[in-house]
This record gives sequence, C-alpha cells and structure tokens, in this order.
Amino acid sequence: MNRLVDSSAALVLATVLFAARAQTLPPEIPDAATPGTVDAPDAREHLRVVGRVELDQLADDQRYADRLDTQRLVGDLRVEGQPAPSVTFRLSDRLEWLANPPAGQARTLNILRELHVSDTLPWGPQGGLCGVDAGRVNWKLGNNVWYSPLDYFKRNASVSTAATTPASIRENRLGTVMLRGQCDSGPDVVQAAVVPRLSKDRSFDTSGVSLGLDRTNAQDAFLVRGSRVVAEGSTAEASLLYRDGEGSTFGLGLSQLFGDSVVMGLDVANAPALRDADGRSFGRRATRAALSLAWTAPAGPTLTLEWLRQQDAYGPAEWDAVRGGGNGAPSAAFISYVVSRSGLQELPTRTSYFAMLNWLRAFDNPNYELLAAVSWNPYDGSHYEEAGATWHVGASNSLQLLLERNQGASHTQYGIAPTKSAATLAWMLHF
Amino acid sequence: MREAARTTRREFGLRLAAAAFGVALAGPRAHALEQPRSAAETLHLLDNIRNPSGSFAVRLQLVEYRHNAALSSSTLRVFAKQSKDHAPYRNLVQFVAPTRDQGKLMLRTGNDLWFYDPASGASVRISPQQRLVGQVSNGDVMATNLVDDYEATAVAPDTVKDAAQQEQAAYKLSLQGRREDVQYPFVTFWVREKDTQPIKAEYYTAEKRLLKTAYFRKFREVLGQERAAETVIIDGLDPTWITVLSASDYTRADIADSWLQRDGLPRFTGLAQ
Repeated sequence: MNRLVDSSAALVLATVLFAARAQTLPPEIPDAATPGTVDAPDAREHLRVVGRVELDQLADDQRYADRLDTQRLVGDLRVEGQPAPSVTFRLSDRLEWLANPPAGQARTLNILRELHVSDTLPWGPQGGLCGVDAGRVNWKLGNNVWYSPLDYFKRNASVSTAATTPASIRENRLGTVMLRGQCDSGPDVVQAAVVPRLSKDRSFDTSGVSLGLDRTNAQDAFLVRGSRVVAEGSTAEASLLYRDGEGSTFGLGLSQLFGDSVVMGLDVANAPALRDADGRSFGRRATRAALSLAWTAPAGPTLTLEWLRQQDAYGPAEWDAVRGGGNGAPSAAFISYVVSRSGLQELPTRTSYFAMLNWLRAFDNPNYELLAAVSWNPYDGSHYEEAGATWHVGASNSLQLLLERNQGASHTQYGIAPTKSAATLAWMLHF
Repeated sequence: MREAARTTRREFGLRLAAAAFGVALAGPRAHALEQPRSAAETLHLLDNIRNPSGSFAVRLQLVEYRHNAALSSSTLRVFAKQSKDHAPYRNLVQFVAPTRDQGKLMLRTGNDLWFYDPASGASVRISPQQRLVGQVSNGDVMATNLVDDYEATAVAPDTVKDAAQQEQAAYKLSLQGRREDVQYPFVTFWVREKDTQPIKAEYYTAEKRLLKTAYFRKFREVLGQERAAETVIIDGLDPTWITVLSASDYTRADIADSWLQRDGLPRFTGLAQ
C-alpha cells in the first residue's frame, strides 16, 4: 500500500515537474519552412479537382452462401468550377468496379452523385442574397447521423456496394434532380425546391450505368423550408414537402448546443403513413422523430447517442407476430418488409437506437482515426456493429480497416441480413 | 455664411485626416508613452494587433511536430468578417490541404460551430470542444476578440524570454474567461513594453493547469500593422509536442453574409475568393 502511495506521489511530482518544464522554451523550435512539409495549392483557383482512388479487399461471411472474397476498385471524383463571377458548378461521381461481385450486383457501377450549376442572383432581401441551383443536388437535411425524418431525399438513393456503414451511406448516395432557390436575410434562410418526375419506371434499373432517376425522381415533389438562428447555439427549422400521389409532410428541427461539449439534435416529421408487411397502411398519417445527443470528451472522442421513433412501423407485439416468433424460416413478406424499409432508409420497428464513438486524431495522433458504431433493434435484440480504424500515411495515402457484423437470431431485423460479418481493408490515394 | 461653413467643414476634415494619419504613424507606440495603462486598455491594444479589423482572408499552415519531426501538415484559408469595428468576428474556415480534407468547411459565429464535408454533403453542428485542426483548438485558427471572452484582471511590468530566447521588457497581462464555456478559463499574455506586440502566452484550465504555451515570432507588416506571422504552440504536458502556425497571404476579402450561415455552406466553393 505504502509503495502504491509512494509511486503515486512520484507520478504527481513528475507530472508537476514536467508541466513546469513546459513553461520554458525548448532550445529548438521547428521552423515552419522545414523541408518535407506539404505546401498547399493556391486557394484562389477557378477550377478544383479533388479525387480518390481506392482499392478494397473484402471478405464477406455470408449467411445464405459461402464466404465471398471480393476486390473493389473505386474512383471518386469531385470537380468544382467557377466559369463566371457568380456562377459555379459541381460534379461528383463515383465509379466502382468489382472483381467478384455478389449475386445480383453489377460488376461496374457508376454513381453520379451530383451535377449542378449554381448562380448567385444580383438581388436579394435587405442584407442578404438569393441563389439558385439547377441539376442533381445531394441535399442532406436533418440533424441526426443514422436516421433523420427530415432527410427527405434519402429514399432509395443509396446504391453503392460500399453503402452499409453510416458514413458510406451518407457519402455515396444519389442526389435528386431539382431546381432549388435560396434567399437569406440575417439569421433567416428560406429555401424552395421543385423536383420533377423524370422516370415512370416501377422497378429500378440495375445495369450499373444507370443515372438512377427511377430512384430519385420517380414523383413530382415540392419542398419549402425555412431556418432561423433562434439564439447563440440554437437553430430551428420548419419544412413542408409535397409529393405527388402521397401528400404533404411537415417537419420541424432543432439543433442546440449545451455548454462547450454537448450538441442536441431533434427532428420531427408528420408524414403520410407507410405500409406494413402485408401492404396495409399503418394509418393515414404518422409521426417520426429522432433525438440525438453528441458529447465530446476533453481527450477528443465524440460519443453520439440517437433515439429513433417511427409511428408507422411495428410495435413490440406486432413485430414478434410478423417475424414469426422465431419458428421456421422467416416469411418472404417479413424479409421483403425489412428490405423495403432499408431501401427507403426508414425504420422497421417503432423504436430503434443508435450509438457511435468517433475519434478523429485518436491518441492525439493526427494520422489516426477510430470509429465504432452500433445500431440496435430493442424489440428483437438484433444489432449491427461496425468498427473502423484509419491510418493516414503522409499527405496522400490512407489505410483503413473496417469490420462489420450483423448480429441476431434468424427471425430478426439484422439476423436476416445476407452478410453475417465482413472485413474490408482499403488503401486510398487522395489527389 | 455658406463659405464659413465650408471652411469649418474643411478644417474639421483636415484635422480628422491629420489625426488619423498621426494614429497610423504612431500606431501602438503612441500608447507606450502613456504609462501606466490599465489591463483593459492593454487587452484592447493587443486585440487590435492580433487581427486586422474589418473583413479579411488569411492562409494558415499548421505543422505539427513530435520530437522535432514533422508529423502532419495542414493548410486552411480563413475568411473573417466583422460587421463593424470591434464587433465579434464571424469565421469561415476552408480546408485546403491535405487533399483528403480539401473543400471541408468550418463556420463559427460566436459559439455556433458548423462543419461541412463535401463528401457527405451534410452540415452538422459541432461543439467547441471538438478539435478538427490538430493540437490547436478551433478558436486558435480563427479571428477572435479576446475582449469578448476575457476580462483583463491585472497588468504588471515583467521580463520574459521571447521565441529567440532574448530577454524582453514586457507587460504581463492576466485574463480570466467571462463565461464557463470559453476554451481556456485563464490566459496570461506577455506583451512587448514598447509596442504591445504579443511575445508569449500561457493557457490554463480552470484548475490553473497549464494547457499550452504559445510564442509569437516573425513580426511583419500586415494590412497596416506589424503582426506576428508565426505562433509556436507547445503542449503543456509534453513539450516535445509542438505546432507551428504560420499566417500568410493576408488580403482584404469581404465575403457575403450568405456564406456565413449553415445553409450557405453547401453552396460555398471558395473559388476565386
């Protein structure tokens, strides 16, 4: 015991001495012009091309088939330009090539995420500006990470073979073709978007080179949204979406900062209700909500917790009934229901939870990033787990290891996923 | 009568111009003749020197060292905007390098911080505690008025070693955070006696534990005022962990208010700015 006290005292003394040392200037302060440091390109450019080449080795432990080893080559390109003083354009595209694609997937897949032109108009409200965007816009709405009922353009937009993790779903989805206008005045912003119906196809083109308009522009739609900085650390928004053939969705969102380390997000929408596994509607209208809390620890990692609620989904007893109580093979209707909710990026059960631990600059090293996430269905106990580590090697290369697992019994949300577990090793070259 | 009024206006204008010219010539040196200064006055002078007033853009390079070896480097372009003199700055930070971060944006208005990643297309609120730019805090790379966040509690003559290990006659200025959520609850600045240029700063926790020590060096004329072009930041616990923050390419750039809000971020490219 005494030895423990002595060693603790020595540790405290060493820490104090170390801290005292820090107050004096070390004899050698590095000069910023040290050879080997990276100089940046000129920021005042008119064209910016940013991209990434990625080589992935995937090991997929499948539930209903043998283990599948796949190699994936990805080209990611983002081009931004300013052909005139007030006009900009943006192109964002991803090309995936799979050496050994899983059944039903194309060998080559092109994802045109964004292609639009933006113009800042010469007029606007007092102290503000107006602008318009025309083309395919990847417009993310809402304040939550895993699920937001205000993220109206997420529906069917995820096509990438890498789109299983929250980050890749966000990064690799298709934008929606729209004409969007935006005006601001001080703390207020008003936006409106017209989304034309550009495809009458009932089923999705899976050829791999499809523009995906059948996914993103299958209905005429109109959105109007307003947001306001209510006070320092507090922003509120309201939105109205009308989809032809469906009706109107009303949304409210709030983002709030508490102290210097906690951020809360609350998104609520009231929408036409979705259908159940038998094709019956859950009612006329339904309320969906997502509440998130993100806390950043002094050491750096950020923990995000999300509580998700969807009225037009199964409650605990109904969920047990529809999944067949775990006897026999899961019904086709049950599997179809879960798959369709996944495509719509909506929830299959009334309540869900999500947690994520994200540590940029892990262990105070700017070259390490760590991530762990779990999405949990409280009704059947099944969950999706993800753990990732990224190592940035120099200014242009990164290595990433990603482990994923769908855990659960055979009649559960994650227990019916085709992939039981997967490991991906990725090398990325940024240019 | 009209002629008299015109003469009076001209005299007033000449006096104003002379006064402005005099202030510009004398700069902070004029204040050095008016000893003793209060802590609050010293803080105001320090703020005037740290950042140009009005709206401007600056390029920052951050190089992080461990044991004198460069571990990482990043480059940012910061657009700072003041609606009027001495008003709080609003900052838009564009990540320029490394290439994997190019195009990312960070917006700060008061305590409101938003981060936009063009890869995900989402603007998310982040807390001031979230560090995205290395060992330094988000606030360290943005233009801020110390007077908005800190109360100057004391100023006293002192001597201090500068970045070149030279003894300098200085004033030691003690600052205390006005609110609980400021990044550093206590800060001590040493400013050069002759011109109030910052020489050294120490940043402390609420428990008075040293978090960082900063040395200011490479003073250059920037937008009408001599300012430190480099800040060397040394970790409070590990003195071999050093970040060198170099400022260059200061320009007068008045970006539109529309870019300084969350919904403006997805439309901001920063091209030709």
